[in-house]
Amino acid sequence: MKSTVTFPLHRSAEWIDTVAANIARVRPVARILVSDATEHDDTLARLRERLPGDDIEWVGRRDLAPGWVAHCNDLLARAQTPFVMWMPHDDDVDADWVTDGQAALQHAPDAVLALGRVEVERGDGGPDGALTLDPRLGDPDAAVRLAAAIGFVVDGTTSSLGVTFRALLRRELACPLPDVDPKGSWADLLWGIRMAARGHFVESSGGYLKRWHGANTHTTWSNLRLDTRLRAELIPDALADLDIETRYRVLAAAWADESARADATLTAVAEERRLIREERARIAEERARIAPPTARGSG
Amino acid sequence: MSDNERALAVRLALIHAAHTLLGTRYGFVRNFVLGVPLARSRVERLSRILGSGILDRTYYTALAGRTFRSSRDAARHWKGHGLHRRLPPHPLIDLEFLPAPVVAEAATGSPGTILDYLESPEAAHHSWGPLFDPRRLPDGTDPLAHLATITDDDEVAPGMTLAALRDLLIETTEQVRQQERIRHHVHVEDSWDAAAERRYLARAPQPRDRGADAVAVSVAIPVWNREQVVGAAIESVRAQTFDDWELLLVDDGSTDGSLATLEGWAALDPRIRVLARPHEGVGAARNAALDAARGEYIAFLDSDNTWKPTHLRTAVGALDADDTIGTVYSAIEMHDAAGTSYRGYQMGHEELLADNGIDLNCIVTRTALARDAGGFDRRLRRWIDHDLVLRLAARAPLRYLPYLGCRYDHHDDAFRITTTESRHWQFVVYDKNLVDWADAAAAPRVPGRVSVVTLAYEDHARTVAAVESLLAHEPGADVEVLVLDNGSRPTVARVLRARFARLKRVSYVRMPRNYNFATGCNVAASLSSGEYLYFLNNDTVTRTAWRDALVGALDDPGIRGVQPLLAFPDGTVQTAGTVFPDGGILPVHFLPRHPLDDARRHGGHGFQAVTGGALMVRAAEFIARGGFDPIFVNGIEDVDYCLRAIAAAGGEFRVRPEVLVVHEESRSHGRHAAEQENRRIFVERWPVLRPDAADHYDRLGLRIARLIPETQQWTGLARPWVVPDERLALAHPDRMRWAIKIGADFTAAGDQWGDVPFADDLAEALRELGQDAVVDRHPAAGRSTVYLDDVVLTLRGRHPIPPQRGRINAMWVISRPELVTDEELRAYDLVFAASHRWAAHTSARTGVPVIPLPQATNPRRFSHDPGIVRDGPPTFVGGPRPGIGRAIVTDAVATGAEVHVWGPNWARYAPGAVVRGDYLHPDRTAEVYRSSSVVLNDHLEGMSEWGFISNRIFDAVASGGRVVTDHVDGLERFFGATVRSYRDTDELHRLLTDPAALPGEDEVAALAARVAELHSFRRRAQVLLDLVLSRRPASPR
Repeated sequence: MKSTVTFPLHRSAEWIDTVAANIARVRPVARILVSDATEHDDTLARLRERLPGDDIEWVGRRDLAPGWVAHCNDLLARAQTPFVMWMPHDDDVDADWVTDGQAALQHAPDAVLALGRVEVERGDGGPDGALTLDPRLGDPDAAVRLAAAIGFVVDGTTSSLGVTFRALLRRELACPLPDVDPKGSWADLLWGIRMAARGHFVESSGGYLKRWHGANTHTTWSNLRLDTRLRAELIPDALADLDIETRYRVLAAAWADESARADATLTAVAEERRLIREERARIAEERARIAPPTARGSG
Repeated sequence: MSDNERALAVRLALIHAAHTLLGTRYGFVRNFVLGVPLARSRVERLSRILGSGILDRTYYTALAGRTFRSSRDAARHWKGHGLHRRLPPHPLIDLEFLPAPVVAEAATGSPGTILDYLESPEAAHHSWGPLFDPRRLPDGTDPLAHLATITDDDEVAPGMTLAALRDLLIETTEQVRQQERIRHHVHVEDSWDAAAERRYLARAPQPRDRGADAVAVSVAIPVWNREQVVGAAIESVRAQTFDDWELLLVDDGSTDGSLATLEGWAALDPRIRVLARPHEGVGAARNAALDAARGEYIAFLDSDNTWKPTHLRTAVGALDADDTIGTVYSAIEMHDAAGTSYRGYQMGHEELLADNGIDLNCIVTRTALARDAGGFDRRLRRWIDHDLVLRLAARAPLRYLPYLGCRYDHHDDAFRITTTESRHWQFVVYDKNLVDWADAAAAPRVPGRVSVVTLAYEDHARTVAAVESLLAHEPGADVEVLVLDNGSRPTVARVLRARFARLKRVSYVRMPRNYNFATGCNVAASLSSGEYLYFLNNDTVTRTAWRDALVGALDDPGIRGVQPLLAFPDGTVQTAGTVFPDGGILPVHFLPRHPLDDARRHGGHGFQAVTGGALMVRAAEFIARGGFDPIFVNGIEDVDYCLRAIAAAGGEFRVRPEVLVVHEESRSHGRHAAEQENRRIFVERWPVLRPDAADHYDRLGLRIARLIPETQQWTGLARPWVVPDERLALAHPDRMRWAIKIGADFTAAGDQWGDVPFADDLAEALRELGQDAVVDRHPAAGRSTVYLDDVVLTLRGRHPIPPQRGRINAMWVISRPELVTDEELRAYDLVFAASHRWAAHTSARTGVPVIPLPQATNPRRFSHDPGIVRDGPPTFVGGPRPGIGRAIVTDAVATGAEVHVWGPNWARYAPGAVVRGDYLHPDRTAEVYRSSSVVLNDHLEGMSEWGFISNRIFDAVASGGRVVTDHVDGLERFFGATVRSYRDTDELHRLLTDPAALPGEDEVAALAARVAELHSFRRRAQVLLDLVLSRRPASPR
């Protein structure tokens, strides 16, 4: 098997049937790694009983840093196959999400992840829909990809980036999730930016369903674009794999782009940028008024 | 009850029993039992024949070879005699086209059986003759009634009236009749009319007086180790009642006391001379006598035969009396263990070309004529006499003299030529007297023209199929087809003439007898006019265009000849060249029973020989080589020709695998009869050959593990048993051999199944991933070479294909999921389905993991071209569902829109104007998709319900087509909203007529690119490969 599907479980009793069905679907096409690092309930044991066979690796309670990020990173480190993915306990996956993702990554050896169309089932009353890979994330130019990725954050269209967490990853190019806070806030988004810095994404055709409901992990997170660390720390950190020149070029372009779009799409960050830009313009005007320039060579 | 009443009751009881047993249609039973006067019943049956219109009196009269006073007489004759001889009653009916039991029963005197049959529904489903097929009549037409209405001026085929057909068939019949007379000329009688002989001799002309210095006749007796018997022969010469002869005794290097014996005779009689020579054979000995002869005439006597005393006098007298005669011959008296028999009758050159009916011992010919004819052909080892007689007869008339001139005593003798040399020499003799290679070489040839030579023998159906399929693939090419009928029965001649009369590019030549393959081909070649000769067996069906590829191969001056890829009817290779195994004595076919893809991968280069079943050569070279050698009777003449051609001019033979011909090997008459003798002659001629089989198999990664003798008794023929080359497996451990099994059969109709290009595209994708992939049509699923495969991938069609033990078995359900049983699913190592819904449902229901693997497209063939203008109407490409048609086509037509349909069998489902053609080549399909305003699609009920999205949608979308389809589960998942579906004809009408209802060009282009990227066969092949590799045992072989 060339792929490992990891199942990071945590208080997953409610989703045990979903997890079991997912394991059954992908078991014929991938190695399976099921983990519950806390074992706050007996889901892992019950699953193990329901799914006999030595082709599934079961990993129980162990001493990890708290939170889903450390758990996922541990599973990433445990995987040995060329391709790997994290499988949230409340989503549905088809076997071809793995098989076609694998084919896509082999077809594009520089790609870091393969992502298909994710159907979204809105249990919170919102309309059902689908998330697909934004073509800019497949661009061979890192600047284009990162402009798009950062744009999703600053524009507030984060699902287009967060969905990449469900992708099949090329293990050797996959980075760990960043550990921003104990809740793991925005880890998937910042990880997505970092992955985009590492390489392009490819589209695959497998089937996947994300369930949107009140208990989704991200519902506890605050709004990333309002976090004061965003531009100074979080996004630059996500670009840490780039050389410094490229990193600043990307960041400059991202903020310039944001400014250019500010009139049309007024985000909180963009508003701030607009105010700064206006202030700078006002100061420059004031300076000019106090000390008018002399004509070169006139005197 | 009176006696009469009692008798009637008995009759009625018998009638009831007869009707119960035999049904009521057998009038003869009813008439017999009832005691109806037979004459009256005949009247009724004859009236029925005449009333039916199936008896064409003019035609039947010609075929019967006699005249009739009335049509009733003709009908009576047909009933009483014609049916027994299987004479057809009408130009449009041939009894061979009717079921044999029906004709057999009719031939017992019950023509009503045929009429009953022709009136039955069964008869409406097949041809009644070469040019009458009831299936082509409008629905509801009574074929028999229709036949009766056809007049002489009506066309029975394009450009041919009934009268013309009748004339043609009568002419053919007369030609055949004449040839039959020639062929059946030779016979023997067990009695002799001595009185007639006496009467003839009494008035026979006497020899003229030549004077003392001249010799009337030289007599030549060749002798080789015959000291015990030659005396009787010499005595019979000396005992002639005519003295004016010289006797030339030619000792052919005898090692016994023959020479001394001969010299003793010479000492005894001054008219006897002895010519002592080293042993060179009987031909050379007789030629020495011919050179030395002083007589005006010459006669030949074998050392173990004798003449009657009046022989020379009578023969010389006849020659003296008529100087227009070149040769005279007498009857012969033959003695053997069975008794005495006699043979003697007039024969001419034509008859002699059909059989050997004149013994050399009986002839006396003019010495000058014999010398002019070149004497005896020393290259011949047998039938040397007949060869000379043929050449004498070709130069001047022969005359039979009705007296017994020679006595022939048959006795067993191990040294007789007839027991030591092959009987195949007779065909060499016929061949050299039938074919004039010098004339053929001098004849002008049309540059670029291909002369196809097809031999027919006792088979019209295959011959017609072979020729029609050949021409159908080259409609405009400069091709002449020479169909040479090797003396088939009359029906075959009539059918072939009738069928080919319409084809301007076909000529029909009938030989009076079967001269076998080599001579038949040689005769036809000598009659041909093309720059190229293409020998094509009549049990073939050409499946592809062929001319350019085959002629193109001959552009290379180093190529001596080229053959197409020959396949068995099951779709496996029959022969992809001819190879010589190391350790085998005889050549064998290359890749028999392998998939066709193996031959394509090999490429077809570098052969020392190919098959004559379908062989193209340059005509000039073939003529220069003297054609096929007729010493080989229906076998190995092709290999022998190839070896001779290379020996003479160097180079090689080639196979063009892209040209495909189906060959029903072993269907040819007499194919194996002479096998052993052919092999013996071949091995004698070619004792040392360069083994090349291992090299050819090596090019495919296969090695010959051993040779398997054809039979337990060593015949020299041994077939290679090949296995994968382990070195290749070590160098490329992940390389596997995939056998993709599909449901289509290996016919032209099967070629049109969608799974054919699907499998080809998938195989191509697997090859791009470094795999070896072959495709097996349904009949080839269990071919004998499956042991070479590592992976069996079944594309499930109409029929299940059993998994094969020891292989990795995978099944991909791409259609008709309802046919797949749970048991079948469980038998496979891997199951894929082109539907997420069905995969999930079936996995849950059966516990068998079914992996979703959607349909795919080949972006090489189906790609978007923004330059194409959508100026065509809505178009559907594909066949109708039997009995249903296609809902999308019906609905589209119902909207009133102009609609085009491409596909077979649409006649009964769509108006004629809608159907654009029976077949759209896969390479042209993308263009049609792109240029149509809308590509129409629908699904079988079960398919749409389960979300099996049609492959057509993938292809059409990848081509940049705008697709409108019925709704199918999962459509949006793959195509978003760009592929439009409809619920009713109103919605369909809007989609077909309102451009705004369809996606824009940018949207179409974006989806085309996305589908090409995500849904290529390459992607699917990668998935299959990954999973199969994961299932592979550590040591694959």
